[in-house]
Amino acid sequence: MKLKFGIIGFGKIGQLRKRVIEELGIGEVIALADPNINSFDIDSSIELFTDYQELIKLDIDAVIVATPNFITSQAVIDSLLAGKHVFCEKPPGRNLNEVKEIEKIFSKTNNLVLKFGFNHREHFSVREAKKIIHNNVLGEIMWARGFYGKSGGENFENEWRSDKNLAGGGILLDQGIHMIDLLNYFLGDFDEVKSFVTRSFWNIGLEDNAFAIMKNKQNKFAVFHSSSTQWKHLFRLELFFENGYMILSGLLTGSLSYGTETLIIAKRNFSDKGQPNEEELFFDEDKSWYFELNDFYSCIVNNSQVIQGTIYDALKAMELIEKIYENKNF
Amino acid sequence: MKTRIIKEKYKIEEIRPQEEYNKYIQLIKDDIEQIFNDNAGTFIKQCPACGSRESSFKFSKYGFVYRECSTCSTIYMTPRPTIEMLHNFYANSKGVKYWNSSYVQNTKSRIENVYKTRARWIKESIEFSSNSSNSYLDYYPKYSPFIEEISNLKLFNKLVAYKPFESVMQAISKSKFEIRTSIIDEKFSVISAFEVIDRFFDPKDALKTIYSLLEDNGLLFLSTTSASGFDIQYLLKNAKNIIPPINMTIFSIEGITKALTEIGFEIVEMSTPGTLDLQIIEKQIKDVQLPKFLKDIITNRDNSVKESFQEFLQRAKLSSYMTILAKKRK
Repeated sequence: MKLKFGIIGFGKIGQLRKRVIEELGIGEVIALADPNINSFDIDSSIELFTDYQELIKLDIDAVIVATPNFITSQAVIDSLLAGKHVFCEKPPGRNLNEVKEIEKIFSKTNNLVLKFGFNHREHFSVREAKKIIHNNVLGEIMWARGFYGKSGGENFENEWRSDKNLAGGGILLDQGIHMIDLLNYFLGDFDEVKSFVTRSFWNIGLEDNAFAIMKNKQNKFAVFHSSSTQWKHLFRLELFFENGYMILSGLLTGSLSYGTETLIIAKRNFSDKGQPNEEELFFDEDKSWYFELNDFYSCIVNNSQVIQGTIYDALKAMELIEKIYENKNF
Repeated sequence: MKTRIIKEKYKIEEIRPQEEYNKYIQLIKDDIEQIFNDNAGTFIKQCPACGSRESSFKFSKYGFVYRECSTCSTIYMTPRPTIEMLHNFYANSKGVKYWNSSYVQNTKSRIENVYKTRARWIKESIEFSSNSSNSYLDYYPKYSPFIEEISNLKLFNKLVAYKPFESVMQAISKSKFEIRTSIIDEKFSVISAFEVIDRFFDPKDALKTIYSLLEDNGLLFLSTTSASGFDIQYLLKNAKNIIPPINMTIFSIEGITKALTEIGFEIVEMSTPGTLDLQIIEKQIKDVQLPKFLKDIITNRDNSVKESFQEFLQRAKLSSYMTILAKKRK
């Protein structure tokens, strides 16, 4: 069964989603909406709109929302109200209230699929780590440290992401949300947070660094740092268990700037003088975008529940981000 | 696809003690004299891995000739013993019986570095779907400690030993393994074929049999010697782990990849996690003509350089011990 898709927001990610839909053969993109849509060279059989409200009036099954943050939650809500299944890129909104509004509308729908794009869960290193945990190789998890950062770049201050009204949040909301989601995913939801949120370098009205120490009800702890002054791009998630550890380091992204995606696994052994024998796995492809959309498609055609990237996951990530923002000091 | 790097340190003598290994080789030579009686078997005209008809003489050992495929660089024996001759050899070989049952298999280092490592690899990597039978088959098992390690994992609902060697019968009798010499209408979630696929007259046919015995999405765990490996490439007939008539097909990385994917497997992991290539070459330095650059590394550089070089071999899939995890595509 092939679905009819519409894409709202045709920037880098919207274009990527279109390609993945076509490569997977799960459907046909029949309409695109973007304020700059006329600047793209697009197949003439696809209907083009500058206003997404026109797109959601069409006879389409599902909508991909890949817009700047200030449009996201309203586009999701309008699409759900129009009876469309929705796949929404992160972040799910500019703040927790916007996501709660989505949840309010979604809870009143019947048989609609709503999935959020937390694609890091579908990276091979993360899937492998989750499998190892599931197979109980290392025992109970105790704590984690997650660091995710980028350097901003030459035009960083002029991007929409650096505009407080358009983005709603800085690096924490834009990139840090992936690490927040992974920490929730591996350790469970955190309810206590100590944090510092600061602007150290970039001349923008948003944070460029966020630091947090977090604890959940199961007494699992996490240290978190999100940065846009990480001059060498970094993705690193350390997971420590009773009987060993795993380190996810590097991430296979389009820019290839986060280094080789690796998963280091080691068992605790007190006779090794603190130098355990490590096994390293490295991965040469990123199928996360394919896994995500395939899952979205399966949920629609099989009328099954979303497991990864649920509205609950989105709310939990935004709740934690909101708690970290409580200590914003600029 | 993922690739595994391991950093365990042990010496070749720990898993292959020289005295016992020399005795094994002498027994094999005696077997050849008594069992094959100058009849080397049947010529094969095509590469058993990729099917190419182009090949060149590589070396001869104990009266058996090995050629190298001009397309995929797999090294294969031709002429090779027929299936009947192989049956006769394995039924009567004093060498095989000695080595499979030797106390060497039960040494601490071999158990830790070979059998426990394989069992842990399986434990970390399996992923059962909801309709999986959670069943396991070991294809031509020959080492008792591995039977014990798999039994200890308690991961599977059913354990089957397919055509086990005599050397494992006692271990099987103490375990929950069931013995099969033929299989009709039975599928398995996981099959392992450790150090066995290179021993068949037609290894691709054996891989097809394994494929037919797997459930959809079932996993094959395989290990074999790699013709792409550093020590094999330089030692050739002096390589102690090429023992005719046992090792008839030394697959290259490219050859085994082609063979598996043509049958319908998806390769999930391909690694050469060997840690001994440099040690082996160092021990047999008089048997090889090494380029000066490599000779300098092996004879004049310290252990940290050698460890880095060995890690490079693993990273580049150029160690001579190859492990593959392959999934049966639907």
